[in-house]
Amino acid sequence: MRITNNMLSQNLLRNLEAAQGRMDYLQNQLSTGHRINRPSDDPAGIQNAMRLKSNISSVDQWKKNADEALSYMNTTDSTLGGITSMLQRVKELAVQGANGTLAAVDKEAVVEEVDQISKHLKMMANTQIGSKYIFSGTATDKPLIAPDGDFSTDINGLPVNFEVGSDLSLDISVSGEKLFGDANSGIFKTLTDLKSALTTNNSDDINNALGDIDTDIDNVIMLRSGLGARTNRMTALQEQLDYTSGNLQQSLSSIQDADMAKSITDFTNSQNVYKAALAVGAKIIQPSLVDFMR
Amino acid sequence: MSSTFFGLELSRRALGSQQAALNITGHNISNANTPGYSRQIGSLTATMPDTIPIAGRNLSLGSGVTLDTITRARDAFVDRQYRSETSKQQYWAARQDSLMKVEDMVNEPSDNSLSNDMNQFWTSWSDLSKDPTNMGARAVVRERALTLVDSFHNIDQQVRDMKGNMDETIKVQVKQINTYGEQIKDINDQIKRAEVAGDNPNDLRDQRDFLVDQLSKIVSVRVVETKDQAFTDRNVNNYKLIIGDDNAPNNTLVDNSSFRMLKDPPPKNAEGFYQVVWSDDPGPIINEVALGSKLGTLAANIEIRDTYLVEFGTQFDTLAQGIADAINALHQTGQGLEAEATGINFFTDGTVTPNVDAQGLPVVTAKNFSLNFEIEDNVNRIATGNITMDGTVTAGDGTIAQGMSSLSTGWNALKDLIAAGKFGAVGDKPVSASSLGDYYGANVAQMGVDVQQANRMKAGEDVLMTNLMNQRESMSGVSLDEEMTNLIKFQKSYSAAARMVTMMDDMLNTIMNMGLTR
Repeated sequence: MRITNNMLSQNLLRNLEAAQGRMDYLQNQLSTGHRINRPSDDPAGIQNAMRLKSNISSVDQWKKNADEALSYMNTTDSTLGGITSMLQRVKELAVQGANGTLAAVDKEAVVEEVDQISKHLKMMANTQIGSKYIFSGTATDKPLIAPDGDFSTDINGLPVNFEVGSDLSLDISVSGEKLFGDANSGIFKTLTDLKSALTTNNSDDINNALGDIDTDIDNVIMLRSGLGARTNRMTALQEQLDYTSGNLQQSLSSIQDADMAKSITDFTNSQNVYKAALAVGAKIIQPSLVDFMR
Repeated sequence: MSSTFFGLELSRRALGSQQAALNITGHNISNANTPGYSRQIGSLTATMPDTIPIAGRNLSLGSGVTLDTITRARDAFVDRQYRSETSKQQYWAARQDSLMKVEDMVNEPSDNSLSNDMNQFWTSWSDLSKDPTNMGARAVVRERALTLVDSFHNIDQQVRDMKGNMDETIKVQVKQINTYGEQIKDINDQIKRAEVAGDNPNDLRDQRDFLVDQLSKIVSVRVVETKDQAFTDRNVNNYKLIIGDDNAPNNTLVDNSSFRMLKDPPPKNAEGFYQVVWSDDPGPIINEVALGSKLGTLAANIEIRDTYLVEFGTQFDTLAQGIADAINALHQTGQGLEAEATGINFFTDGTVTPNVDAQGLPVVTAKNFSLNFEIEDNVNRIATGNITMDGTVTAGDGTIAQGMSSLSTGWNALKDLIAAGKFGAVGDKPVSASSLGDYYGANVAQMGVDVQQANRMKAGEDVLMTNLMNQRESMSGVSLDEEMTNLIKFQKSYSAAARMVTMMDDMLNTIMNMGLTR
């Protein structure tokens, strides 16, 4: 084949361009740290990468939701604990009051304390986290106990669900209706009954109230253990989401991240090729017969 | 017996011929870097010998040298291959170029992409579901929705702009084809005149070939060169240039000295895009010039403008419609913090009374995809919970918001609506993908495959082109070493011929001085 000067310079130029293109590609990988910088770098990979990114964004959100749910549930739990100890105090007071030898003054004091506890429980029934009433079902903007001291009619017993997984929502609330009952039964009715029994000093009624208090305490403990079980599940879910998030990040990294060691080696290689091409080019292009003729 | 001055005459011819050869070499050296130039070769031939009778028989006595022809080193077969590969290579180059621009439009994978906007949109709903009374969370949903629709508008606008740009390019290319055609016609005239005069117009032929090479980048070309039967004693050719599809009935651009124009400015089709049409097309029906399959940048540009970008844009229309349908169908079943605001749409087509389909869902495109202005004005209308029976508001109910958020992973939230037929036919909607994000992901992957194909084809064609360019250069290119060698060769011959003249002079002197005595 006949070789001309133009051919040499064109081929050299093309090879230099190819080497530079390769260097640019690797340089891009190295500076972004990503193997996939455009859809065409790996069409199958990018679909997986996008799906993983979307999953990671969902999982992170669920994790955030689970964290919030746990703090909500813990507050609810300590409120339930407070209610239990209040009721236990009421039980003590009822036992005291049942004692027939109690002086009238002391009995008044007992009635007074039961009254205070009742008021305090009403306050607890309107516990808020942020601006949300936790015992009002989904009517979180309404207090369970209206200002006049009666049960509000606006509330409901619906679960407050938090989304913590794909189509997975958990109820994080304790129903105020189940916890406090209504005007005809439940904690407040028991306390009212106890108060009137103490005031009238009717020992049968006091004994009945004592039984009711036990039922109420059992009810609270039952709800609390139910909440505890859900809290456990939420904690397990939270850990699982943590784990999943880590796994997904790892998968994403294995799909879209550049293998640095390999990229750097490749880069050094192509740099050498480029340098060699330049060096050879400098030798090849310059001389022709013209340089040796006088 | 030859004449006394025969030797002088012979030397004169030698001087002239060697000088001409030197000039040819000089011409070659001068044009070593001229694009489209083919090196020229002067063919020196011995002149007709004198016949001299000697001793009863005839002898041919050589009478020297003359420059017979100047030809160019050119391989017509390589030319044909070169042009056909140029058309293919340029098709893929133009396609690659356009597709890479499309690739840049979607900007995947990055944090400033539609997929990211979608993810953020879904998670903002999840945040809202936890506390529907939180005005901050409501405002975030609104902003994410606005970002999302803006992304759609942005991509749609870019697709439109690109179509417009391609259209302008096509118009310019039509003009270019006409210009090339006209130039080739003019050169045809000049070449024919020269050929009729018995000349061999190498440089004009180079120019014509160069123009055809350039033209082959835009459209595929076919050259038909036949002998002109009117001239039997000399070499005169007819030159016909056909562009586009080989099998089309009449795609002749230039035939000898007649030139057929493409209509310029080109007529527009219903969408307002330029169409490539012959100027002698009677109309009014637009008969597009058949450009052949996958040949030339013009065909690539038309294909991108009329097919690829249209399909690409439609995918975003479908995605926008899919998101709007899914969100709206759910949104209509819920209510926000205003008891009276129920059954409203979250996304609309940007008008007060949007067009709706049979299921009452607004019909949107990527262009008019908008957040309902009722919601933009008042975030309390963002539906988060189920509609209550008694017309009150359940502030803490995040069921609907949760449903929206779950659309990021699938269609469970829409299950009941789909079963009840309130979502319309699902076959043509993104519902067939496993989620909206997946539908979009598949589209991006498909685009990636298209770009990859263009990259590969371009790279393959580049290798072929390199080979052909080297073959052509090997045949027609000027080698300075070779020319330098020729320079010395002809220079030495010239000197030798000059020496011969001196020698003849001496010889004639000898004759002149014969018989003179001093």
